[in-house]
Amino acid sequence: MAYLELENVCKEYNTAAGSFLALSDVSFELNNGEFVVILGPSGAGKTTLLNLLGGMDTLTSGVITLNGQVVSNLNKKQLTKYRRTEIGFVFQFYNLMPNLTALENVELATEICPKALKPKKVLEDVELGGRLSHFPAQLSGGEQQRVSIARAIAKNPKLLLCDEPTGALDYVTGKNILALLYSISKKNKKLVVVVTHNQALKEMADKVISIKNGKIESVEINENPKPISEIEW
Amino acid sequence: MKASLKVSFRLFKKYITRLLTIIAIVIVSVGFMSGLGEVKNKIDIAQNNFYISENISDLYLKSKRQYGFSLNEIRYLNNKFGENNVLKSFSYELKNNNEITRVYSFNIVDAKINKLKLLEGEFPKTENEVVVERKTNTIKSYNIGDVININNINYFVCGIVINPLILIEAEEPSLQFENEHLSNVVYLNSTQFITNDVYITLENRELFKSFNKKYKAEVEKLKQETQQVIGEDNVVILSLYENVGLYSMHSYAEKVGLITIIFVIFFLLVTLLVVYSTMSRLLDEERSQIACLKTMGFSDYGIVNKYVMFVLIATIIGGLLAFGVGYGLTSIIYSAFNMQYIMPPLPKTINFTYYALTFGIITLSTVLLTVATGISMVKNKPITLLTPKAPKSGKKVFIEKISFIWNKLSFKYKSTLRNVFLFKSRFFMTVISIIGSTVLVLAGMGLLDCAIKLGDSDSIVTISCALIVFSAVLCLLVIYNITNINVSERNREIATLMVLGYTNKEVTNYIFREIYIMSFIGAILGVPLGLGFIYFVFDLISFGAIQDINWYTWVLAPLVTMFFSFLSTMFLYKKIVKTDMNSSLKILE
Repeated sequence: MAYLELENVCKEYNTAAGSFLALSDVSFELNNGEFVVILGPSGAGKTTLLNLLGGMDTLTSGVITLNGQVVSNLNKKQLTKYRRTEIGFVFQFYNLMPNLTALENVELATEICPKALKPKKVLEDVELGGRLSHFPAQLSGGEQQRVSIARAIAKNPKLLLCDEPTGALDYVTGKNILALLYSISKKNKKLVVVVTHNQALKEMADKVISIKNGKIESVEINENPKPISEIEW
Repeated sequence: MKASLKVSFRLFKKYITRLLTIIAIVIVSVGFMSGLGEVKNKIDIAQNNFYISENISDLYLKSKRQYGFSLNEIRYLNNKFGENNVLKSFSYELKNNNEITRVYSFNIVDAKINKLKLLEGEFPKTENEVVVERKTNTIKSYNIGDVININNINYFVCGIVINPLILIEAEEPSLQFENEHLSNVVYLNSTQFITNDVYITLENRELFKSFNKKYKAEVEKLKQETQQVIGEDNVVILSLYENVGLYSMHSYAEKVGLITIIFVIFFLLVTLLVVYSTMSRLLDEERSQIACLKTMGFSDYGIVNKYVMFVLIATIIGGLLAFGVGYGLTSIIYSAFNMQYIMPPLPKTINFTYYALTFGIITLSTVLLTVATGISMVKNKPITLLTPKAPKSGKKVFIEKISFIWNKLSFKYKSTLRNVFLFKSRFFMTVISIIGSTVLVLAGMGLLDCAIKLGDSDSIVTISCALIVFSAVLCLLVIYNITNINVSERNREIATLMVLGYTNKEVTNYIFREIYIMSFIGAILGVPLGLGFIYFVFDLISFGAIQDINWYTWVLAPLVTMFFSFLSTMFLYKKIVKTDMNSSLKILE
């Protein structure tokens, strides 16, 4: 059994204008330690998929399993616990608390998580050991995203979800962040899923899932992923 | 319909909660300010009406001689003031078993000055019939048909009256026995042989106007002139300024006027804080739209106009609704006040002065505030408005310097404390309103305690309840508004916490903890300020004593305000819990 499994996952939204299928019959399998890119244009269903994986929404039909635990039949309370302990989330706009220092922002996550890592150590790992008591506004965009990543991995989650992690960053900084995420998947042996519309990231991933109009278009496996430093876009 | 109105109506729909908040705060503040202010006005009008209808005498001359005024003196007075403006009477006081009875003897039926008002029974028809003063807190009075023996003559009580010069329900001082008060007042209908009392009315009845300055000067002048002619050794001249009933009523009205000023300042401050915080948040949310309108070439004023209309219409709706609230409050306080005096019922004339004044002040200041807030934002270049407003940077607060306390706090409290001191307008608005509410609740409960202890005056009970209700509503409104704004401002933070796996309780506490800390600070500060306020109020209304207030009232009052602040946050629990986690993923707005 794979580490993360999706089986015939469907998500239907009911709106005033009628119901529409945001995801239809999505199935794939991912392994621990993989660096996965979910690729698709806007409106393809990426965010819906991210919401389901992150336990932020419930699906209409199908099954999701993470490390043997069935996620798809959890109730609201159980989903909160799932997000709390199993998921690390990296946001496009970092979403740091403006009135907490870098260290405190990481503590925000570790305080509620029983198997958490030491916040200071994690910040040192992402090369922010010297910026512990800085507030977000005193950090650059790249540094803020590092704090956000530190906050996600400090929970020691089973799954690290990243929503357009370089979307708000410049080219070079974006590359550095991707390199950091890649190394986390290998060094910490974490399943890292990056959702993006940037085609160039295809080459660095172990697995690329292309999605269009709510359907899986292709699942490609890269036997020899390219290091991010060699990729240009 | 004009396009600008249409745009405003669309805004109403979008920001209905904020619209209702502004309407509500305007109802409360205009209602309270105009209602309280109008009390003074109503008392003044009632007193003036009473002065004219009862033809109350302006001067009271009491002869010190045994045989009273001489014929020459009477002639002088008749010449000086006009015969119709002079009432001659004879009175004396008897002391029996430590009870003082004042006996008046004059032509009761034909007297045109200080007309006795018949409450029950009828005026005397025969020589051995008398009328007596009504029962007050200190005057015992009689029943109709009772027999009174005065100087060994029996009189039958045929009627009960009110003397317009004895208005107060509290003690009426004796003129003969120092520091004692009357237990009974009896009026004999007779043509007296001796005149030792003369009551004089001024020809010009319009001069009085509730003890106005010109009246005072005129009365002083006449008093002196008369005194010089008649001689200080022979006569005591009293004016209405020495009349316990009328003058204390007047000074009470003046005091209510003073209290009103304090409330006007307080309510104005709170209303402006509420409108300011509501509108500056609303404008922040409209940033991108404003930028869009600017690039299209709309003038700054044209853009701000619709937000000004939003506030103006909300204020007008609130102000119109406030009329009923104000009128109700005036009636309640007036009737409470009436327990202390025999007063004519609330004057029917509806006076718009205070209402228009407070309504005007509130409208003008909310509109100016919105224009100023709006212009200061709209004058930015469109590009500045299009970039999302940077969140206020975190800052260290003074408590962090005390490291042995700070280091022991969990990050939750660190964040809360930083927020509490970082957002100053929010801090002051919350703390000021909570202080105000606590002070009012404390005053209300303190008065209630005293009223219960003294076993008296429903009147004071009504005022206390009105105070408690108003302050509770104020507290609810302000806290609801602040929390509501806080929740929408921190929508992203809330969504992020939810994605991080914070439970509903943890998320709501994260937001509410700040409100609770601020409420706590306000409630605690409200106690000493409340003590001062209670001293002031007790002194003003000559009622109650600090030691009559139960000790637990001092604890209960701040708890009551904290409870109401808790209650208003609970109304927002659902809104927080329903936050869409996806809003944490979206681009900053």
